[in-house]
Amino acid sequence: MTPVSEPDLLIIGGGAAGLSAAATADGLGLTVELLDERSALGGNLYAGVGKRADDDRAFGPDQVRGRALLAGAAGATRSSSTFAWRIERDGRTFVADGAGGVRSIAPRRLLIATGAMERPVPIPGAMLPGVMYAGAAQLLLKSAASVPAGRCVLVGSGPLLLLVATQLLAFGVRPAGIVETKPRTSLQAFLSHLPSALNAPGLLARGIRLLGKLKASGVPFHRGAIRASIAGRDRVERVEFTDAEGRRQSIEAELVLLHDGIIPNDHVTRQLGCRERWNEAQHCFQPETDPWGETSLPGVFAAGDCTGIGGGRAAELAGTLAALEIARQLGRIAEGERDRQAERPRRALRRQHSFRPFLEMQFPPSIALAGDAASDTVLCRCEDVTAGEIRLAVAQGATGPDQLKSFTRCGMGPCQGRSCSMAVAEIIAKETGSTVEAIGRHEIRSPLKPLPLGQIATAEAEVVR
Amino acid sequence: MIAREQDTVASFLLRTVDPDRYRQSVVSAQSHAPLCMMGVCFECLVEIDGQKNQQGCLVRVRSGMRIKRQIPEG
Repeated sequence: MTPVSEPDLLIIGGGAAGLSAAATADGLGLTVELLDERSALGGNLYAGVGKRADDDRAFGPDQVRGRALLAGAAGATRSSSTFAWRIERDGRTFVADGAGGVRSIAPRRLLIATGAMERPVPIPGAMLPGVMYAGAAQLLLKSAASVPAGRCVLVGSGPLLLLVATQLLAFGVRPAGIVETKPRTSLQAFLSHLPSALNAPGLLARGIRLLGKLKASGVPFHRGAIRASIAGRDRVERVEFTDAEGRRQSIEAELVLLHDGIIPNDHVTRQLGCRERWNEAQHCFQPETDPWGETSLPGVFAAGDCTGIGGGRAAELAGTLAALEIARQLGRIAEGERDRQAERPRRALRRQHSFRPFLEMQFPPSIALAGDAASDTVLCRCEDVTAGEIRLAVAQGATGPDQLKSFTRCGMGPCQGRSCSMAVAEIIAKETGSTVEAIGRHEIRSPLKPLPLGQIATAEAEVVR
Repeated sequence: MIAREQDTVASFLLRTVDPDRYRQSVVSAQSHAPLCMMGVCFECLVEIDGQKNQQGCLVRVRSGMRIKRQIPEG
């Protein structure tokens, strides 16, 4: 094992929050290391920004912003294709790089900026090849300028679903349909949340433009759909749903892009045992942080969407604020200076957050809610465990996610429950008359991802000591 | 075969093979294909340079890389 590095700050995640924190911390004289498991920095929002010959057709302004962030963070030691597989509560982090090397980093402060992930959508047929998340298609567009071939139908709910539809159109791919499962918003709810939306008129205008573009495109847009499912023998053949008039419909498809909002990608904070709380409006768990992003573990910070969904701009601002407080804790700036520099980003962050209640009201989770899933719907993709098998295990006494593992192997596959943990909690809650908040999710232990044994062995002596 | 600048193994394979020929689950023997492309779902597992079960969506394609799909006769 190579010698331990000891930067002032280690940042896990090279998206908006991580890059912006790196720039701020570097600017204040801290030594910064930043790592990301992906092969390029930028996270989801700024995926592909590092490309040399770029094609900005669909992503103009975001690309420009992303490139600025990437350039701003140039002072940090940055490693892509490098993932943290074990993190101690004092911040010491064991990482594996793409070349099979293992090393450890002992930072004075740790910032977790692991962003968001797609809210897993366990509907019938979602296992079929040809199904992807809408965010996956967007990443393909951004990084490799490609989309899988075939007749494409978008299914689900959320701003990203509509955004991806317009980005596909801009790329020259015409979706065969959009099946939107967003429940109808009552006028009362709309009006009561409208003031929050008006705090960020730019975002509201962007949403209205998006809908306008979709309408103008003439792509069939089925709103208020329910009971969406995907059918096919060995791969996707069609999407079925009940439309707003109650008619069962079927659309031929070769590529189905699913989406039902995004949730914090919080595996790292969970492994560390950071205290978390239930976010009712976003229907997800998130780590608790103070106004600077410090978690329940002193010296361990988290910023951006991994602490609750706020969007890319909010993530950037939260990264800056965390870096300011870290610089203060390490004696680089005084409290007064920290507060002075935090004033503008904090104000901007408040504006970003003020828009969220409107979005959350507009796009509650719909097809992702697994409580009533049909018995043969697969919830655990790795171990092929169905909703029916989980209900049976609950009836036989497995009333917690960890017990369910030993009953069904659900959550024990390579993804370690990333896809199924919420669905499992939904089902247990439904069957036992409890709530997802009370049920919680199973424990996360290191290694955070399966790792070849040989690689762990080279690090083992260090871990034990 | 020619890859694009930021192609990962998964994005490359998605352009070159049908999704139902991407990989087969050892648990169910069903065909599985990449779902999230962001390192979360583990549906994109492939053998790369002799190392099995690598997340294809996280690994950049390199010249000379040996990619083997985890399917019988893949």
